[in-house]
Amino acid sequence: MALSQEDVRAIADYARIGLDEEELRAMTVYMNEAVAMLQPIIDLEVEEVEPTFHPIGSLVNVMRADEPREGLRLDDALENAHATEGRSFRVPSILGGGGLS
Amino acid sequence: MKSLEEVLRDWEAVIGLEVHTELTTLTTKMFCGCELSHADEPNAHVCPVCLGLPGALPVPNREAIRSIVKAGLATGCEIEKRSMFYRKHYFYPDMAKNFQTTQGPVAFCMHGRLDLGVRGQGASELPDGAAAERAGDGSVPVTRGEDGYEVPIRILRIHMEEDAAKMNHLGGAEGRITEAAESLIDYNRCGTPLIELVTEPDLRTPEEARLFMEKLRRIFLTIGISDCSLESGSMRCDGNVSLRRKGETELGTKTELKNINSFKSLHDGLEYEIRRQAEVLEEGGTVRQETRHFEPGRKRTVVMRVKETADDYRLFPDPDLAPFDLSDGFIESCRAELPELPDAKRDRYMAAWGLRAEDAETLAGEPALAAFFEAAVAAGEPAHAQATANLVLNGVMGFWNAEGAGPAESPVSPEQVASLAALVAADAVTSAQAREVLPICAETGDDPAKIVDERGMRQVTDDDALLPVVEAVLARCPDQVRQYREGNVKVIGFLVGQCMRESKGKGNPKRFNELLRERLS
Repeated sequence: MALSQEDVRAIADYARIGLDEEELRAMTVYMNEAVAMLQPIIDLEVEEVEPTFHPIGSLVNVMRADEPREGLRLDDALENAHATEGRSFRVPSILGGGGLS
Repeated sequence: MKSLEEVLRDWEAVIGLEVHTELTTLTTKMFCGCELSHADEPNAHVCPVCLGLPGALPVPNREAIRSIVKAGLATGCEIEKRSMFYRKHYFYPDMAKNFQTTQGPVAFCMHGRLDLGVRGQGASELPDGAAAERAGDGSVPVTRGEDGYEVPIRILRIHMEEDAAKMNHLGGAEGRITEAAESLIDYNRCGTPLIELVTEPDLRTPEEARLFMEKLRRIFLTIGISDCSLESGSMRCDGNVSLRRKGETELGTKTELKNINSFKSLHDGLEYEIRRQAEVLEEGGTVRQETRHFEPGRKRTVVMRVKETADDYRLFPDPDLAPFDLSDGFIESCRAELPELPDAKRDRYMAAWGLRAEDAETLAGEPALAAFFEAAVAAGEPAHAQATANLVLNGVMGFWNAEGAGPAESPVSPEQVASLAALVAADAVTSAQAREVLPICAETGDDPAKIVDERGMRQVTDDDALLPVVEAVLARCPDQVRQYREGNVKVIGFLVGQCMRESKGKGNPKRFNELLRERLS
């Protein structure tokens, strides 16, 4: 089940990662190596096995009370941002939207 | 474009709704202890969880889970004990962690139902020949009645998720994103508990969609999970609509309608979209699957986004959130907290007090209004319940609007309203006079009976006093008397007016009318 260069281009697109043709070729080789490593797992017969989404045994219904807890101070929240304006994070506009539909 | 009526003669519109409701009555966000923000300064309520910082661990808010279970119970859903949270991936800065936490194939609430009563003018949107069953399996029957029809609308699911941040797009016209150069982000709203309800495609007219949304809002208000404001966006609705030829069972291509911030917009947006699609199809074109934005000012929809490829959200179970296996005890304790729901309340008003269906529905729909009305009925006599309802709906509500008040902080008391309704019921004042008395009640705090007497507003209903007035007017107006007897019965209005003038406005117009008719017959 080898990934084509077009598959990798589509994945990069989804991940909003810009790759030039050279990088795309290299990434296709690299990703196919990664998929090959996964092959033994892909080959396993798991039809009858319940998926293990949550490995922590029988932990269920973990909830908290609806009580406020102190969050981050504004300076701390904005500290690592590339750009800010007033109290807000500032980002370049993203054309064509892309929010939840 | 053809009118909606013309279009629906040949086409069937298939409508489904997706309704997002923020759980605004909670204190904190869905997965962290940040306070829910209402009008706070940007980024005043943020933490590593809602900013998506590495290593932060989310923990679900118990009250949010209780709220969605209540929402499910109130809309006839089955409560799924076992469900999970999923990650829905997308890259956009309104969700810094690059995925929205939502639910997968199994939601907390599945397969519910709301019964709609479509009456009056709005019922005529559904043409006479429309299908009597909508699901193909008998589960959505249309029952026609005298003044309209009843139809159950199936709810596919209600799932729990979280809201995204607010983006403020700078530059460009009207803050439209396509023109903006930069955007500012405020994460206060990010992580707000949100429930999404999805209907089955059972709705057939814009009026039904509007009624469904109104009914849902009344239920959510009553169970107290949200302030349900379409205007401020705490309740949001997307409409999916497609057309197919009458009798056809295959679904046509749908468009999705966004930016609906009022019940009227929901109706008008869907109406426009149905008419637009009919025009496209009848001219031999094809409807494109796209998202359209409703412009209420211009009453039209415009393309927002064309879906060329299916979105791949790479939905998978969130390993950071433990699965749910709700106990019967948990579900029953939610059920025990449910108040009387609007439909039950409406039925009680009709059965106990003989209220008209529309009045009972309106009063029962808003918890504070219902409480005020019930207090007024309790302060007076049950026999005056309809008079009290009339006064509240056609007088007191207008007064509240004018005063910028509401039932919770009413400037007139339920006792005053009860007393005033009794005066109207006894024909001691007209409805118009009752409306004049309301501001005086508010100002003086006096009993309406006292106000009416002090100001000489009490109407005379005693025939001994009214008859001489009637006789005098008839003697004075031989022309009108002749016209009436020749069949021009409308002239009675003029004669009543004369009687009112003669009695200096104190005589009861209804009784004058009756006495005049007796004398003239």
